[in-house]
Amino acid sequence: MTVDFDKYIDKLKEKDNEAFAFVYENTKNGVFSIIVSIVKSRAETEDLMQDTYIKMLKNINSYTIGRNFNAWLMQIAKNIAIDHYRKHNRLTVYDPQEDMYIFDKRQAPQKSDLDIDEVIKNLSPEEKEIVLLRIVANEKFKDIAKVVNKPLGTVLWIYNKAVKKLQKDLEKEEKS
Amino acid sequence: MKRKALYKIIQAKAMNDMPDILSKINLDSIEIIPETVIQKRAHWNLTHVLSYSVSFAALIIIAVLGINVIIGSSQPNQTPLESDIELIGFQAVSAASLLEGMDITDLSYNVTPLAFTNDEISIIESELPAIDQYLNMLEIALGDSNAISYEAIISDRGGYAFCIQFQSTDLTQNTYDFKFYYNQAETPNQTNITGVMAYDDREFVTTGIMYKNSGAVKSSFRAEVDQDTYVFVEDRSTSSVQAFAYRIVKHGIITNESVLNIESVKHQFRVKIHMSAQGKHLSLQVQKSAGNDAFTIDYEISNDVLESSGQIDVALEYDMMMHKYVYRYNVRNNQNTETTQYQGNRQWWKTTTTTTTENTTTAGNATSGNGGTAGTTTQDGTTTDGETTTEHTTPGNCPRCNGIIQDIIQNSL
Repeated sequence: MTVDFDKYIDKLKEKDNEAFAFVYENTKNGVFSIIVSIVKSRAETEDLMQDTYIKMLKNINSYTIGRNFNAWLMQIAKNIAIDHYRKHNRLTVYDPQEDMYIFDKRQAPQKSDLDIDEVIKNLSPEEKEIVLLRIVANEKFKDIAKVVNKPLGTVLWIYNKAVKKLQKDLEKEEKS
Repeated sequence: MKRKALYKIIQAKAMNDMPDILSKINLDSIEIIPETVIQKRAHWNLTHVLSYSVSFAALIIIAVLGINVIIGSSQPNQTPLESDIELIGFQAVSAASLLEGMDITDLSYNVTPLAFTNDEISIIESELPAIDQYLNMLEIALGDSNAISYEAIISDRGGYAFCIQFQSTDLTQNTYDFKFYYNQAETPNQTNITGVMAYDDREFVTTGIMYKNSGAVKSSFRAEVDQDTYVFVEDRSTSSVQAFAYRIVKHGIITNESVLNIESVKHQFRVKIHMSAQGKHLSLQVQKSAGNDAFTIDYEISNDVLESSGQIDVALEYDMMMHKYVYRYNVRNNQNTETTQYQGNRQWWKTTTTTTTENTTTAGNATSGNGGTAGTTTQDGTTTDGETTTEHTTPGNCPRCNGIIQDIIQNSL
């Protein structure tokens, strides 16, 4: 079901708690999916999710009614997570779409304390982002394509490849 | 491991990891950045007067350019299918619907003249069966006249990794849900696609290839009843035009070849079809009506002796003998003011049970919106008086074809 967030924008500008709770409940899965595809810690995830919603509220006047609010919020989450990563990993310049090569080559190994990483640890950041947006956030593929700035066919191809990889990984684990 | 089980694991772990930060955000402590308001001070001097004049002139130029853009928007968009999904979907759906329109038992496509015809009209009359076949395809493939929507969805059929869904309404406003299930295999030079086009209770084996040619992605598809009876469609689009070449082969013999251009004007789709064989050339420009209940066609036809052009209006008409909707052609040629009428065959109707009695069913009993269900129909298929015959019909209205197709599907599975 598509949620019309634009009806809540005026109330968000008035800092209405109910409106914020509604927006939060209907967007948290997407924001979470974006952030955990980039960071690997519960504490960081929590901080960045808070930062995302605070930044969204601070800048709510810059949102134009009629645009895709969900995509706008996810872009804020992505920018915050990438900024955070840049600050904490000086060698790494990372964006799942733009700088994946550098990220893959230079990322210092960091042990994750997120349960979800047990399952998706072998996926690339880009694959993680697409898989989580689809399975956790239940986003439509065409909306995911906009968020990750890739053609729909490419997103589908990456998604199917990643899911097959996960199936194989889990089957291996079950056998062992 | 099945996909659903995998999804459940991922969702459970994500829910476990997801922090609840709602209570930790104090809205009152957040300072919302106010909207930026640009204030202008007015200074009345010569410089400003000149700058206002320049601005005014610029506004005029922008207005003129704007008008040009608006006029330009009524120019046809000759590449309306934007994505790979739309290109694959259109080819697969159009090939399968052309195949649906092909009666492999040679029983149908009798276009019946309803009035006297002169030579110029009869030259187009001879082509009406072919036009009929394409109208059956376009009734579905053009969508609801202002939207062609192909969506990549998760395949819900085992054995096929991908699925493209296409919904369309026919001229009686019945909705058809097409799904193209397919797998794709990559080779160094091309991608091979194998799948089935499914809708209602029908399926056609559909295969295709995609490859790069001079930097552009090209593709071709084939929907088949069997090895010798199939429709082949090849994408011949360029960067400025979307064109598809069709070849209809029946029992190993090419029965029709055409090139179809698709374009949109003011968000409404129209196609141009060109056929050429044995010295005869036929060009059609076909568009659905705004109400999605009729076609308008401009035609030009010529052979070694005659040349003719004109318009054909195609609407639906309920045929009380056949108990279904058929096409009613009104053909007007530009050289002669006479209008000639024909009745053409129409393949699209929903699977249904129709009941007929000795009393002739009137068109009044038919309800627009159910296409093939016109006629007096009861839940249990019986009536209280008169002889009752019950007929199970499927799209195609051809029990023999359906049997053949079902056998092929069974064998192919």
